[in-house]
Amino acid sequence: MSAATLPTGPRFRSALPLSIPLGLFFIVFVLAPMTLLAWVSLHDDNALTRFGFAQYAKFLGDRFNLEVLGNTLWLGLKVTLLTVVMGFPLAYLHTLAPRRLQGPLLLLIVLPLLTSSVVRTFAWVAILGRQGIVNTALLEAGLIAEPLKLLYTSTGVSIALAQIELPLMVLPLITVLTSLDPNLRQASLALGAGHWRTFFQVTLPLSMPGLLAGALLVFASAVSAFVTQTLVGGGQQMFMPFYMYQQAIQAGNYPFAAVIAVLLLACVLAVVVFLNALGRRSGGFVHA
Amino acid sequence: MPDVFVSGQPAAAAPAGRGESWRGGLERRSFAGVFGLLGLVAAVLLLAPTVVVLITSFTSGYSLKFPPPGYSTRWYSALWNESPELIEAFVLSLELAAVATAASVVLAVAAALALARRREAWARTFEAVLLSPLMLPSLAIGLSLLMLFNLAGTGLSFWTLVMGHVAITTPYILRTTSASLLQMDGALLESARSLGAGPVHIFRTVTLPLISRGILAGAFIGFMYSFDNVAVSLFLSDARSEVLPIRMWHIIESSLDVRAAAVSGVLIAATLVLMVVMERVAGISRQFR
Amino acid sequence: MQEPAKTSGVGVTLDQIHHRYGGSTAVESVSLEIPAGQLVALLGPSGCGKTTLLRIVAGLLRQTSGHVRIGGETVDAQPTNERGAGIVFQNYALFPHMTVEANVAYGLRAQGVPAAAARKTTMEMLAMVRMEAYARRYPRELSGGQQQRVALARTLAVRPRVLLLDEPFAALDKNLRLDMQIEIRRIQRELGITTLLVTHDQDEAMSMADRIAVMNAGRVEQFDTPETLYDRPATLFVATFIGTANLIGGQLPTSGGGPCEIACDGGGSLALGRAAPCSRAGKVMVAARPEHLSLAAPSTDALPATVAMVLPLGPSLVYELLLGNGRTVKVTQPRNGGERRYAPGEAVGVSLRAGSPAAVFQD
Repeated sequence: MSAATLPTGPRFRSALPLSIPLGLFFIVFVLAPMTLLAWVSLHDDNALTRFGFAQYAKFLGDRFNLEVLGNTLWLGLKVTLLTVVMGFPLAYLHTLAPRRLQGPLLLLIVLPLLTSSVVRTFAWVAILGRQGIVNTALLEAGLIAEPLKLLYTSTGVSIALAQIELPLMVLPLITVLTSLDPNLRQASLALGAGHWRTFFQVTLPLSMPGLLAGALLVFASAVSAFVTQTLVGGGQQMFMPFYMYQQAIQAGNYPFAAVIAVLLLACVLAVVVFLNALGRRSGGFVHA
Repeated sequence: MPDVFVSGQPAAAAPAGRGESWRGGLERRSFAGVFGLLGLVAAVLLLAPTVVVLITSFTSGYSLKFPPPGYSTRWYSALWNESPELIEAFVLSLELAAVATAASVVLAVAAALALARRREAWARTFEAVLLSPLMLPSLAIGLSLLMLFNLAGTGLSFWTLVMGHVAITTPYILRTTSASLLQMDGALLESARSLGAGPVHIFRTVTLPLISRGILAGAFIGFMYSFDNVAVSLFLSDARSEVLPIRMWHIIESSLDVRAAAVSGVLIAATLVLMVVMERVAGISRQFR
Repeated sequence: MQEPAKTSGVGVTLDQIHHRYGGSTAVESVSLEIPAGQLVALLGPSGCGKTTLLRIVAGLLRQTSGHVRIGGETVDAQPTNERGAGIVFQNYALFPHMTVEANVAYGLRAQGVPAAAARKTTMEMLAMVRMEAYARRYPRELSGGQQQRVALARTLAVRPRVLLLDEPFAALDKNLRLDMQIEIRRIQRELGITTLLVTHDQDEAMSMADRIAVMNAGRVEQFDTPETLYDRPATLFVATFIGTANLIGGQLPTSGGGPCEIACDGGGSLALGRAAPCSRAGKVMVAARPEHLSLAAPSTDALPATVAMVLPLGPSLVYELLLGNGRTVKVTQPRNGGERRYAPGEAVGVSLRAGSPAAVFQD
């Protein structure tokens, strides 16, 4: 920090140069690589001699590729919806809990976020496996005769991802629900409205900013959830992240891998813009 | 009109009165029921995997059968005694996370000091851009960095891995430190200035203590994120050094070794302990609100 | 403009309401009878339980024991959305994502009133509070007073049996307050709706309410008309909470019927001019309002004091007097009443004006 100039007011005006290190780092290690990624995707071969949209055409023209993209986006959507349906009640319950319990409860909700995705995915492999708890319970209850194939199905992936991403939905919802004026709900009841009407006409619309923030985080994470998609999905379903890895490392086809990466990024960004626009309409700004 | 009266004197007995209408009761109960059930399912779903893994790690058998046929700590001792490659990977992950987090703290805190309290549009945009890796798939970041290093001819090493991890952890620290700075009362800085303190002195004695919790919380989250990260590590590791999550993944994919459960057990326990410590020291639950 | 139909007023009865919360008692043994069509104020310092009591009547809180009756009918088992008790919150609680019109129509639509009829009633209500021009605005575009009027319209639109107001004027500027108090009183009288008003501002309670329940630490200390509360406070708390009161300690001699004299601490005596209100002799505390005391030359049957300060205040003179025992007493005197003025330092005798009330409290 330059000691020669005094900060004017509480805004650290002269501290602006402090942002340069991170800014530079960002340009070199995030912006440049991303640009490079886009650049590489516009070439036809690893040596980067032939420029053109050939790789994009190759991707978008092939039915298999489009299916991969479609599966990935569809997975993101399913997981987002699942987390909304389960996350809202959980967040709601948190706000109803006594104050002393809210801190520990929050930490329990956060715990999955801080544990490795490999650990979390491994847990689901253990649960959905032939000898896992689900199959054991169903067998014991006599509901099935043979263990079900739950691993390596898209349903299994959806459920596993829904659990793994659930905290990302619950946290913004808790934030927005606690900031709601409790008198609003009580006013609605006092005016004669029932609990369902109060929820759909008062609570839900006013929780939109949190809901959209959560949806954004969940969608972005779910479509990029490389580890879970691969370990729980197995080879049965191909998703964009693994496709990208396979093409880059196993097949050595960097331009194509770059195309996959760029398309994935573009989809995530499109959803971000869309949800932000929705958020602005509903009166709140959506941000991570 | 009956006479007005004051506390302590009971009124004459009156009829018992109407209760809740059956429709209203049904409505209320259905709402509570649906929300309660979904919430409970969500809570169980949230915690079950962690619990299952912990229980499975104590199995005496050789597979991931649940419930386990018996209990023993053999897999933990197998981990401790017979798995040098896992311990090596653990140490590497630890070093990597520590170095990356330290570098990130320096970069991110500096940037936060510069940008957090500014209202101008360009500052807001700049900060949003610096926070963008939070939302971008880290896989893409990993791949793009791989291309960069290949192009630059530097090849892969521990340090290229560190660069990748710094890129993905700085946003967390930036976010929490900015939040702390925003909550700081500007009047404190103005008082310090009016008392004649210089900028470095003010930073050391006023600002830093006040934002230390935010920095610590961000560093903790960043550290855990780096330790657990697979996507970036996948692209930027060289063959010699593998981080723990990737080594675990190999185990799970190939042999479904129960040692993976033991590793998970250790990691979960460590995370829990660290989380509780962080909560007492830095009150991190507030950062998540 | 069509006149909105009069809401038929119903009485509200609170029967031995107790409420415990956490480890403490918020409301203790409160029984009140609120006659139909009247405006009753719950007045007291913060923490005295008045808002708790209001919420119990609204059904937002379930009391630990006791009964609430509206119109003679016990409503304890009825939830808030069926009780017909309209409540206006301190911060108005207007739905920020709905227009003024949608806010006012909310209760009507919630109770199944068809859109056309709801719209008609909504516009009537807005006309009643003079906010028709703002129907399409959002709450954030309105000032505090405007929001309050909309909140009132919203609550009255569903024709509640009882109107509950929780510190409605606390968030308004002082100038606006008086206007709104008059406005609400006018509407209340016009509709004849039984109203319960919670406030900590005694001027507000005194000017608006037909009757006031003065509350302290969960109990109702006195429930009377404003004038009675002022002239004949029933407890020491009421005497000091309402208006200003001088507290003069003394001894009550054994009563022998006839006018009594209190022997005051610090010397001198105070003649009450009427029969002793307390039956037994002993320590007492006399509460006398400044305007009920008068000054004269020192004498044996008056309270000896020295003038410390004289301040003009509007049409009166306020004397601050020092008693023998170090305590101070305030006495006010009309400036143009022809009475003799005293200067700081002069010795005077304080006595009760003939025919003026004074409250005597025994330990």
